[in-house]
Parts: sequence; structure tokens; C-alpha cells
Amino acid sequence: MNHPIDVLLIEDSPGEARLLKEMFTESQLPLNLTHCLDGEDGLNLLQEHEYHLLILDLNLPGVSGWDILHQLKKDPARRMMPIVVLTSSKVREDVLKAYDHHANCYIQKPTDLSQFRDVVKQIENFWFGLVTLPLLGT
Amino acid sequence: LSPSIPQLLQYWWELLGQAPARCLYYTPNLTRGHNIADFLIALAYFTYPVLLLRYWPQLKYHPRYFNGLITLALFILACGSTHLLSVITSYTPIIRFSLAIKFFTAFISWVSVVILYHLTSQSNSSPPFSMSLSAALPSSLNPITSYAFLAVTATVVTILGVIYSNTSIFYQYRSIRNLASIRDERDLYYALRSSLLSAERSQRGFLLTNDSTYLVPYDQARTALLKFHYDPQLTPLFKSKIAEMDQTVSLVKAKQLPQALKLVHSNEGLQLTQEIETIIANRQQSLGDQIAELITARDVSATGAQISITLASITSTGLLLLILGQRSLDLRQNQEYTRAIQAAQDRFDSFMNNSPFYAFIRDNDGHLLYLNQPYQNLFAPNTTATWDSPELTTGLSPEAMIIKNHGLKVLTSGEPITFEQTMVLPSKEERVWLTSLFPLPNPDGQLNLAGTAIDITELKQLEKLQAETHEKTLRAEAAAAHSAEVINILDSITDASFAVDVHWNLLYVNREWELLYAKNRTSVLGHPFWEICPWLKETIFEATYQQVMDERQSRIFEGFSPKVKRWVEVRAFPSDNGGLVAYIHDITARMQVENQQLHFLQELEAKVAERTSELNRSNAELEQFAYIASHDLQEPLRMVTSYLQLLVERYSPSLDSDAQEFIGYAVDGAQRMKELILALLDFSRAARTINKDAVTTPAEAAARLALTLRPTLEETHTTLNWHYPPDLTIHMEREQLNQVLQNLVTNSIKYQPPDQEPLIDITCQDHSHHTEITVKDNGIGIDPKHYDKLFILFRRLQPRGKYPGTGIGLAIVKRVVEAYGGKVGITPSDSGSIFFFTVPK
Repeated sequence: MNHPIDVLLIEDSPGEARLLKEMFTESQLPLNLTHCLDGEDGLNLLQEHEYHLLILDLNLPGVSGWDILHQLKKDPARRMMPIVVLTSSKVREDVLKAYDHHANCYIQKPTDLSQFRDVVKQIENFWFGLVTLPLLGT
Repeated sequence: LSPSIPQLLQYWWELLGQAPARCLYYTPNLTRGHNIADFLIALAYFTYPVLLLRYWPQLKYHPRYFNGLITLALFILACGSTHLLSVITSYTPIIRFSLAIKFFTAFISWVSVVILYHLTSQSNSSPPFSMSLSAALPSSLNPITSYAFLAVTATVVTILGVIYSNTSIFYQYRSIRNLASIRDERDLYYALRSSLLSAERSQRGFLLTNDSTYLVPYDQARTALLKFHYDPQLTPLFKSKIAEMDQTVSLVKAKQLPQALKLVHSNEGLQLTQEIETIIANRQQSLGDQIAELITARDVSATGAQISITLASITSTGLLLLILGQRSLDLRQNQEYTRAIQAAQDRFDSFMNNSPFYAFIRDNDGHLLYLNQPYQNLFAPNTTATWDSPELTTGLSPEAMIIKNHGLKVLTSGEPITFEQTMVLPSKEERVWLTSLFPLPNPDGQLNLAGTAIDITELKQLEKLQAETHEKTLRAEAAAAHSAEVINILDSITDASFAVDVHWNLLYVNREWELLYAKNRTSVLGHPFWEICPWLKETIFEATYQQVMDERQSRIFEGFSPKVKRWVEVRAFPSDNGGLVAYIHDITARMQVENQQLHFLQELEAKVAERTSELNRSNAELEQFAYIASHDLQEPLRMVTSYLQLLVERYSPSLDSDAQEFIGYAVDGAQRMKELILALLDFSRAARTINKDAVTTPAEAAARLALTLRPTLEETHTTLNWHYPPDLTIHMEREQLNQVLQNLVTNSIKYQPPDQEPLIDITCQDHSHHTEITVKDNGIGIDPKHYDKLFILFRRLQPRGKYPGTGIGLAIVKRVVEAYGGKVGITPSDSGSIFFFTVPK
């Protein structure tokens, strides 16, 4: 695990993003967490740089999370990158739609700080510990 | 008499080793002829391989044929060499070299036989040499008969040959033995004669010269003659002659020459010699005759043996050739079979492709195994498609319709199906097809689906035309007969009336009908009813008339005739001829009154509908609110909560107690807000799905409630009693009834004095229009002055700290019960509280 892990976070709420960053900062992993506030910036960043994991909010102004999900997953060159959908919606249709667009996992944002910390820990354990990421170390 | 097998073999071996005696019979011309013929044969043999070189280009790419050809060439060259050598050996006896070449030829011949056998048995396209062999055989040769004939012949010839050669070899064996002894005997006579001559000559020499050296050969000859003492005829003669000669010799020794000469020239001495010579000559003659006879016999038997061996060889070779030929013949027959199958296939294809049928075969999985040309031309189906392919699953193409609807049925049932079907072609043309689908077992035992279809559109049209013509004739006849009969009666009634036949052709209209529709009777009779009154199409008139026609039962109905703007009451009866008769009574006046009533009713319904839609709209807005609450409100809430918690975590040591207390309130407030939002969400969803057709029973409700509340009931030691009459049903969705009861019971458990175990009675009562359910507890009770606020959202009667909850439970109860059209309320009570609600039936 010597390679730094590049993670892109697309999240329109600076507060949410900061919270997520704080939680990730607590980990010992060599994480490079890049954050952008809207979908357009996110797509540009994804064009310029190769990320190992994308954490995506769905309700974004302008280019929505759905658009990004759709564009990335239909592109054979980029669809290998795992996408973690992290959103406040727990509507069943949203969950189904996200998986239908080939999201790699769908996580609902918790309301409590300790739960939030838990979620981040789980994401770390799973995606950076258990799972072999496709683009990492190449 | 018969020799043993080893003896036979030994003599056969000796016979085989006898030098060829024929050279004595050769004349110069015969020798020349043989040599010229051998030379020509050799020349021809040497030409063969040169000719075979012409196959070189084709054969060098086929190693198998190539080897065969090389061997054949060697074989031919070797054969040529033996012939050439036989020419050479007749002049120069290089017979050892010639023998070596002969053995090499034999070896290479057999190698080529083996290779040729393999070639003819393996190849499909026969090389030229084996083909010529097969072409030489009659193609009508019956293999079994010819084999049997040949086998019998070969066996008989071989057996005869073996018997004959064995007897002749036996004879030969005896002859050879006799011949040797006879030759010895003849040689003995030669020796006797020469001894006699030698004795006489020596005696004469001694007589003339008196030289004693003559006496040595004389004594030798004399001794040889005396040895021959056993012949009864010759022995006395020899003794007399020797006595005579001995006397002469002793006279010469005694110098009495004249007496000796006299004795030698005496008649007796000469006579004796002549007699001996005659006997010996006779015997020699007889022995020579015997020898000649034996040699002739030997030659005859040797020839016989050779002939029999040759015959056996020829037969075996013939059998071998025939087997080879038969193999080639089989090959040729195989080719004929292939050609016949191809011809049958061609005939089948030509038949299928030129027939008007559309034919196909699909296997169990749906793969197209066969399709004829018309089918290909019309549908151009995807031949790689299977049942699961999009072409056959989406059912878009007409052919897929046939296959999917009926093909699978045929495959599962194994029964053929024939059906007519109207199909739209890829060209959008509508055609009628007669299709037959039938199962076709394949060699693996599975079923394939075969189908033929024929376009019968023209045939159908023709049939229809014929039927129509026929019906028209019948119609005209029936109309004429009927009208005259009823016309007078019907004209006299005040209702309008008409009659039609089974094909809706007007048979009769009465005067009132003429007046009603302002049409002349003569212009309408015999015409189809729907052409005369097209405005009745797609109205209650058409529907009801059709019913009467189909069901053959009379009907009475009211309707508004748009053409004449009149309300009419119609009585329609089926008539005997398969048609119907209708009587039309004008009821416009009555209908006007009724219409007015209807108008008011409709207005009322419209108002109700308007209210309902308003209600629905407000429900929808509530839904929208719920959605917003679940997402948009939660996010800021999360911000507040999370950051406050983070603040406490990180900065707790540097915050003073006031700051910590304030943050505590803020966190508490946010927490409560979250609970309220979730409660609101529950409330908005509580009555979202109303199913008024759902039915449940008290027993079911009791079981469900016990299951849901089990932990709470156990923890609080609550006693829950149910009271209900048997066979009672509650017309409410089970989960929603459970939600209502759960809220009421939870409420009862919650509002209890400390240290008291809750006791709750749930009673269901059957009323005429509804079911009433009461929940009675032993709790703290409710002050009657609060009754009106009980069911209001978020309204609490007790301070928050004392009893937990958001105050939404009863609001949910009210919302659900009212959604089902029921009522909810509280019955005044001295101890505890009694809630009730009703569910309409």
C-alpha cells in the first residue's frame, strides 16, 4: 500500500465535503482527496487525471450526479473506476436507478457524526483495504 | 504303399531341384523366338515407368499415391529385368545373378500388391490404375454370387491340384527309384561286354606276340566276368567261354601254337561269343525301352504336377484380383450412391424451391436447419437466431409470430398443428396463410420443428365471394316471400317497425317507420340495414340488435336516435328466419323529464369529483412535502448535528461550561427536529395506500399486533386481552389496521402511573354498517377538557420530559381511520381511557 490513492469527491455542499475530508484525514492511508463543487468541474478533472475511486453526490447543480454516472459508465476507457454514490436520498427509485446506471455502490448519508465516521471508516476498509482497485499500482 | 508327408516333401523338393531338361528340345528357331519375345516384353516393361511419369505433377502432392507409383514403377522395371535376364542367360549362364533379380522381383511385386490394396481401399478418387481395373469388371456383377462361385471353384481346383500333384509325386518317387536300378543294370551289361571284349583282346594279343604283359588285363577281365555268377542264362556261357580262353592261353604257354590257333578259330568259340553278345544286346535293348518308358511317365506326371500347381496359383491370383476389383467396384458403387443422393437432394431442392410452399425446419433450440427459396425470399430470416434471440423473442417479425405462438407448442406436445392466420408481410401487405407445423424427429431422437405454409389469400377471397353471391340469392327470395305476408298487419300498428334477415338486409318496414325516418319503403327493402341507418352504428342500437341477433333472445331498451332527435323505446325480437323484428315506440316526452333529473345528478357528481380532485391534489402536495422532508430538510440538519458534534469532539477542552451547555441545547434541538421530520414523514405516508377491498380478521390482527409489539409487551409486563365475536371481518388493510392498533396500544402502555402493569382490552363489535373496535386501558386517563386536542398533529398533553414521543401517534390513527371512511374518538371514562374507532363494511 505504498501507492498514494487518488480519490475524487464531487459534492456541492462545502460543509458535507469538509466533513468527509475531516473523517478521511483521520485515517493513516496515503489518500489524495480532491474535491470539486459541481459536475462540470468534476468531469474536467476526470478528463485530466486518473482517479482510483470517485465518491459522487447525486443532487448537483448543473451537470447532475446522474449525468456523471451515465457518462463515466458508458465510456469503456473510464468505466473501470469504481464509483461510490454517497447521497442523502433513500428513495427506492433512486437506489434502483443508480445501480441501473452501474454505480458500484450506493451509500446513504447518515445524519449523525458518529455514524458518518463509521461510514467513512467502512468505505476505507472496503475500498482501500479489502478490494483490489483496478487502476491502483499500475 | 503311400509315402509319409516328410517323404513326399523330400521328393517334391528333389523334383523342384531337377535341372531343366528342356534345352535339348530347343531348336535354333525356338530359341530365337523365345529371346525376341522376352526382349520385346522387357522393352515394353521399361517403357511403362516412362509413361507413368506423366502422372508425376499430380501425384507428387499426394504422398500415398506417390509411394504407390514409385513401387509400381520398380515392380515393372524388375519384371522387365527378369525377362531381359532370361534372354541373356540363354547365351551366358549368369544364373546366380538372374536368381537374385528374380527374388527381388518377387519381393517388389508383393510390396506393390500390398500398397495397391491399401490405395484402392482408402481412396475416394481412385488413381487411374485401380479405376481401370474396376472398369474392366462388369458392373452388374453380383458380389455375393461371384465371391461364392469363385471361392467354390478355387477350393475345388486347389483340392484337385493337391490330390493330383500328390499322386503324381508318389508315382514319380517310385519311378525315380526304378529308373536308377534299371540304369545300374544297364551299366552292368556295358561293363560285362567290355570285360568280355578286353579278355578276348588280351588273349589274342598274347597268342600273336607271346608277350606275357597281355596276361594282366586278361586276368582282370576274367575275374570281372567270373564275378557275374548269378545269372542262370549268362553264367554257364561265361564259364564255357572262360574255359575255352584258358585252354588257348595254356596251349600258347606250352608252345603249341597251331593247336591254339585252331581252337581260337573253331566254330564253337565264335559261336559262344556271338551267343553272349546277342543275349547282352537283347537285355540292353529291353532295359533301354524301360528307361524311355519311365522318363516319359516321369515327364507326364511332372507336367501334371506343374499344371495343378499353376492352376492353384492362377486361381489364388484370380481371387486376389477379384477382391481388389470388388473393392474398386464398391468404391464405384459408393460414388454412385453419392451421386444418387446428390441427385435426390437436387430433386428435393428443386421441388421445394419451385413449389408455392414456404418450408422450413428448425431444431429444438430454434436454429434454422433448412429453409426453401420462397421462405428465404419472403422473410430473409436470420439463420443464426434461436428461440431466445431478439428476432424470435420480441415477436416483431410475422414469421416469429407463427413460430413463437405455435412452434413451441408443437415441440412440447409432439402433435402437429394446422392453422390459418392472417399475417402482415414485411412489405405491409396483409395475407392469409395456411400453416402446418409438425414435429420431425432427427437422428439424435430429439424433435425438430418442420413447417410449411401456403398463401391462401386468393382462395379465401374467392370463397367469400361465392358465399356472398349465394346469400344474396337466398335473401332476395326470402324477402319476397315474407313481405307480402306481414305487411298489412304491421302497417296498422302505431309503432314504427322493421324486420331484417340474418344478414341484416331489410325485409320489411311499416308506414310509421317510413314516417319516422322519412324514407320510402321501396328504396330501402333488400338493402343492408346499416347502409340505410348508418347513424345507428356504434350506438346502443347496434349493440343491442347484435345481441338479439346472436343470442336469439328478445330485448327492450331505450335510446336516442340522433338522426331524428327522438327518444325511443325499442322492443326487438328474433325472427324465425334468423333475423330480427323491432318495434320502435316514441318516448321523447317522458325522456325530457328524466333528462332534467339526470342533469341535476350530473352536476352534483361533478362537484363531488371537483372536491375529490382537490383532495387528491392536496394529498399529492403532502407527498411532495414528504419527499422534501426526507431529503432536503435532512441535509441542513445533518450539517448542524455533525458540525456541533465535531466541535464538541475537537474543542471540548477549550470550551467553557456555558459554551458546552449551549452546544448541548443545539444538539438536542437538532435531534428533536430530526425526530419530528421523520414522524411527519410517517404521518404523510400513513394513508398513502388505501385498499378498501382488503379484508382481515380480529384473530389475524391480534397475531400481527402481538408479533410487532412483543418486546414492548414483555418489557412492560403488559396484559393484552382480545374480545370479538366469531366470523367477524374487518374491512381494512392488515398492515394499516396494525398501525392504528399499534399506536393506540403504545399510547396506553406509555401513559401509565409508575409501578403499574398495563392492562389493555381490545374489543371488536359487529354493527350493521360498520365494525367498532375499542381499546381500553388502566392508564392515567385523559382529562375531558383535552378531548378536542387529542388527535391534532404534534399536540402533546404531557410535558416532553415525562413521557417520550413526538405526539404523532394519534394523528396517524385519525388519518388512517378517516381514510377508510371511519370515525375515531374517545369514550369518557372514570379510570383509564377508552379509545374507539370504526371501520365501515
